[in-house]
Amino acid sequence: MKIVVAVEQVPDIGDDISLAADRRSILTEGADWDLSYRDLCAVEAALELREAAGGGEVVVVSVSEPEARGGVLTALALGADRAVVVADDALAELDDLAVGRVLSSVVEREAPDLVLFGRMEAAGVALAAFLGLPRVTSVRRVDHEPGRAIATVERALPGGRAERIEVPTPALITVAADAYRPRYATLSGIRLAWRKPFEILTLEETSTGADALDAVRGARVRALARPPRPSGAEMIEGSPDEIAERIADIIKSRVS
Amino acid sequence: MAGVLVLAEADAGGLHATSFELIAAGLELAKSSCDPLRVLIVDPDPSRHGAALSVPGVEEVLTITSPVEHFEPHLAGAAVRALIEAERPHVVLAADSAEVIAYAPAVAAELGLGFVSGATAVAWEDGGPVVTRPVHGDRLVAELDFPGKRTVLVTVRSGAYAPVASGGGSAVVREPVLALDASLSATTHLGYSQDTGGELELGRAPFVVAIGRGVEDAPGVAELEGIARTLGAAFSVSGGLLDGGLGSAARKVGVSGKTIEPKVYLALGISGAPQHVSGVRKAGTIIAVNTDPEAPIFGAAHYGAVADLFEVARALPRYFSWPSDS
Repeated sequence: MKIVVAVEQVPDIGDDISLAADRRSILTEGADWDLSYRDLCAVEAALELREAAGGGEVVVVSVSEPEARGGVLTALALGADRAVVVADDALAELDDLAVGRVLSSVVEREAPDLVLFGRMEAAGVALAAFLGLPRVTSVRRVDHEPGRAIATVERALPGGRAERIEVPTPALITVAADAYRPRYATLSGIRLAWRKPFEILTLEETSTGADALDAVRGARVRALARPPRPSGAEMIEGSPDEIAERIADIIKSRVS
Repeated sequence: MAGVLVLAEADAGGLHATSFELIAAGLELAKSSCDPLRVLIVDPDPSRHGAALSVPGVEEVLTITSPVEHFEPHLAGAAVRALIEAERPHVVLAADSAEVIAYAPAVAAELGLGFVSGATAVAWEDGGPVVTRPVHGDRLVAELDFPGKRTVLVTVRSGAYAPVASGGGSAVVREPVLALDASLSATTHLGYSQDTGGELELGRAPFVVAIGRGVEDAPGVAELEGIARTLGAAFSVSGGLLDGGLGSAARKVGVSGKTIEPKVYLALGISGAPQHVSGVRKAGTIIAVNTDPEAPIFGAAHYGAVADLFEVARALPRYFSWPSDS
């Protein structure tokens, strides 16, 4: 079984974000890059599918700025077999449709049985449209027997319920935010990650030309700005006991 | 035909509250663009929602009868796609919901539309839409435009617009002719399953008690976890506390942790670093207790109290007989 899992590398830039001179992107020089919890869940789902199948390959793919590595290395340290990253300066601030288009060319080349997305859910759904793949989103459990042309999934619904769905493979599946318990990387896993195949493609090396990308781009960032300061909380005064009583009233009126 | 199209949503429990927030956004946009506002509802029995969606200012309510009872994203996408091709709206507004995100990006990709998800404002400037969207864990807002796009599909965060009251308008209710049948489904619905039970999961809990660096040791964490359980709340810790080695990573909330959407989020001793606040921004009501009156959490919370978190937390259970228990 071959599984592609697409992740977004997130810069750990703390609270002091610097804007680029054109105010349309942020400066990420020297930042550490990591994966979001939801993407860790998607990686975990891929690894558990491979383990349940008794073998196979997990390929982690990403679209990133050239200096970003840490998030993809995390996926490799956790157990993904190899990485394919499309890295290009022209790819900063890509929108969902463009990310979906760029990754669709990588997925098409890899021809996996399943494509898993986490945090980049919208890009994943767009990718499915570009490749004509069936899709299921917000999934909390995926089961797929090797050789069968169908996967069984549970789509998470509010209130802890789930919808059970069959989807023909190859398919695009987005993993819900709280769906799996991501494992921790071991020291040997981290050491091994550096020796795993790590392929870096420029935009030109994918089958997506810059013109094609411009045509598909769904939105353009005109400007970035800091959000206005929120108006602030209504303050509750009184003794701790009086505060507790008022807080309990507020909670009971909202949750019932 | 041009105009603004709102995609309303309903389930067995009726129309979603967000649909009326979208109509509010659509009314503003229709006014500034001088475009008519239409509302679409796809449902097994859509006509039952016609009167409620007929809000003053809505020109037409378009009803499409779903051939299946449950939500199916390929079918829903086919309906919306066919309607966009027929009506050619300038702007399509949809909820930022799990259902919409399962088909809207695909429709945008197939039709070459402008697309953005998670908007907090949609304005009309110089003959086209301009969308505001929080980015980078809500620490920045992006202003987006859509050069060369005739139609732009935008999903709007819940709570970004105050909802309009339902009904009271004089919209024409019309069922467009679309070839929509169950064979457009690409997945097979097998049934529903209940939760397996066990610990209340953070991502789905209606009430979350969260603690931060104001709690300094493991016995404090344990005591507050016990109080949270007594109150029927899920329990969460901030990144600041995790960095100190207290709590499990699965319960971290924030940019590289989780985004959660409880009805109530009670933040005890949490300073409110922006990356933490972004993880709970969608909570219905945020209540913060902190000894520091300058804590940033008070800027993001709806209610706040400057007090010792333990004194307040220990008093809470006394006031917590739920209506059903009393």
